[in-house]
Amino acid sequence: VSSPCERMQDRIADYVLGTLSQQEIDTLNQHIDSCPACRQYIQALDNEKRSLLHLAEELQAGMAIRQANVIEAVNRSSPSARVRVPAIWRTIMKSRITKLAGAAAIIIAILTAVHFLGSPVEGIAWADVVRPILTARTVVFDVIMAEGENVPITRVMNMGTQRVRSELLSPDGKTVQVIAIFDYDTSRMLELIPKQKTAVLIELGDMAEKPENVLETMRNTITELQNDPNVSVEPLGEKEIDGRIAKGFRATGPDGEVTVWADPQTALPIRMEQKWRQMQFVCTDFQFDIELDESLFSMEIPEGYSELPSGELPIASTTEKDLVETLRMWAEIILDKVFPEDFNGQVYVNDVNKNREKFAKLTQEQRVELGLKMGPGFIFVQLLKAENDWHYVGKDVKLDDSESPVCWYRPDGSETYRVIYGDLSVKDVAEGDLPK
Amino acid sequence: LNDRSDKDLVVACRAGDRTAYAVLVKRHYEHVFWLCLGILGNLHDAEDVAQDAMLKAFVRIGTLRDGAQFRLWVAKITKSLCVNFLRRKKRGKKAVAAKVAQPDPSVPANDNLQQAIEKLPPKIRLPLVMYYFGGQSVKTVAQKLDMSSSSVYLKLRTAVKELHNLLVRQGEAE
Repeated sequence: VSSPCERMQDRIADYVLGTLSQQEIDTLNQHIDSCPACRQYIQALDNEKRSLLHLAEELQAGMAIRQANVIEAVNRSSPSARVRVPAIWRTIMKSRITKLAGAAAIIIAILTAVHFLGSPVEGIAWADVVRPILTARTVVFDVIMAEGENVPITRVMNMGTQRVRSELLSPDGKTVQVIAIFDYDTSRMLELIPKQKTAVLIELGDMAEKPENVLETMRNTITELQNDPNVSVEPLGEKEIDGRIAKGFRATGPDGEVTVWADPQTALPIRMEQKWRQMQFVCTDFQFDIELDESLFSMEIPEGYSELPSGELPIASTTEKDLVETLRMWAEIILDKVFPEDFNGQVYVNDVNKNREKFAKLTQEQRVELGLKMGPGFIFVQLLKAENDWHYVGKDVKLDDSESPVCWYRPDGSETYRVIYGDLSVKDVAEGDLPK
Repeated sequence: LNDRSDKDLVVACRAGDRTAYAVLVKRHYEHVFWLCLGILGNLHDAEDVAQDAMLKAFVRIGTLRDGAQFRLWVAKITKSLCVNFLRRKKRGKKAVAAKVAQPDPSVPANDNLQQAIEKLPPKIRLPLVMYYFGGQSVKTVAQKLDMSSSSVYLKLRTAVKELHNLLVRQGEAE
């Protein structure tokens, strides 16, 4: 059989697809009456169409089974997998002490390090970028302590301004290692270790000077900075972050700098980078106004969990003594009678990790106690303001060295500085006599 | 639940309601499956990737800001997974999909037709699959694929002719 006429092939295909007008069909019929090749072509295409429709029926018939399989797979998937993890709690959270004490440091850092989230940016862009932060009922984001490998990451969920949940994740990102739930109305923190099914309920102390929580601080700071004519803002143009185009702004204030990257279309923040005193943070994966279940913020000890003795983490009333105690424990217990190279959460987590064999013999209660005792010194330093002029110079200083300073700061309203030395003595020193 | 909007269902999913997600699966799986079949051409690959797409959407539902956009969002995930699948397949490393499904009992008898469909170029196969298998009008296919109706017509015409040529060649080879 010869091939169908070249000029008729499209017309025949259109006929099979049902797009020809009656007039066109009549013309086609006249042609195929006198052309066996085209007649055979039209019959073949028609048969193939019927086969396609038959196959379609069979595929449709199997649709319900396929859907049921998908639903079954969804139901079998782990609930924890529902939390997207941009990166992971990589290798460091191996020991209990790291989990607890590291968690305490990170949670504290999260509480305070967002102090300078946001800054004034010219025009509508800034207003748009900060609007979600100012108005969202719920905010979820991830906090990374520093760039690079072995970096702790935690997901922070805010319900209103009074309840916060932090989750530290396992290296594979599938399980939550440590959960810390803060309830500012009742000044309590509930810490949960899901793997060990243990819970510690921590009183946050006298909240007469209640610290702002993350969301509240973000809002207050943004509002404050918007009104501060001295804050300089530098537009950074656009760059790609995780496959998305982002527009950046950097604001430089008295205590450090904050960089905000936002979606140029929606103006929703994508990433915030903060360099604030000794601490460096990156906040990513923001979600605003998503539904968060009430149970995520419950202060009840979950069923099946055993409660460890409660402790106190007096956020509102930390003092210089707490700082001295933290320095003492760091030098004496974590390191070999030497002060750390720097005073921040990242160095602390690294130091604990490097010396984890030291903690092997501690009981669970002792580890909780150590974690709780380390926290207040961090809080004390975190709550210092720029005018307190905090300096840490303890690298390589040995414990008991009464000559070498470890750190100093100027208390509120004081003309002299408080200098802490290697033997943990504290002296009042005039500004001109501070170590060079 | 069946009467609730996608937006409401997505909100319920975020709060951990898997029943709500089941409704979204029933509502949107078919479109996802036709997309996969249209892009990949192979029935079993399409089943695997369509399931992966629905699972991935479930896992990532917290990242979807506007629940009303679920259909577009899941289609985007699907296309991305299909592209990755084809890339891996091209490299000879066929993706190991997390398949829970039992073999489909309704495998069409016409293997030749399926083979020919698999050999069609994806650009013309996708409209063909949506038009014939999905039973969608040219206008609907055009909307879903973000192209003009005339463009869909032209692709369908080409697909019909090309499918015939492939079947003829297969017949000759046998």
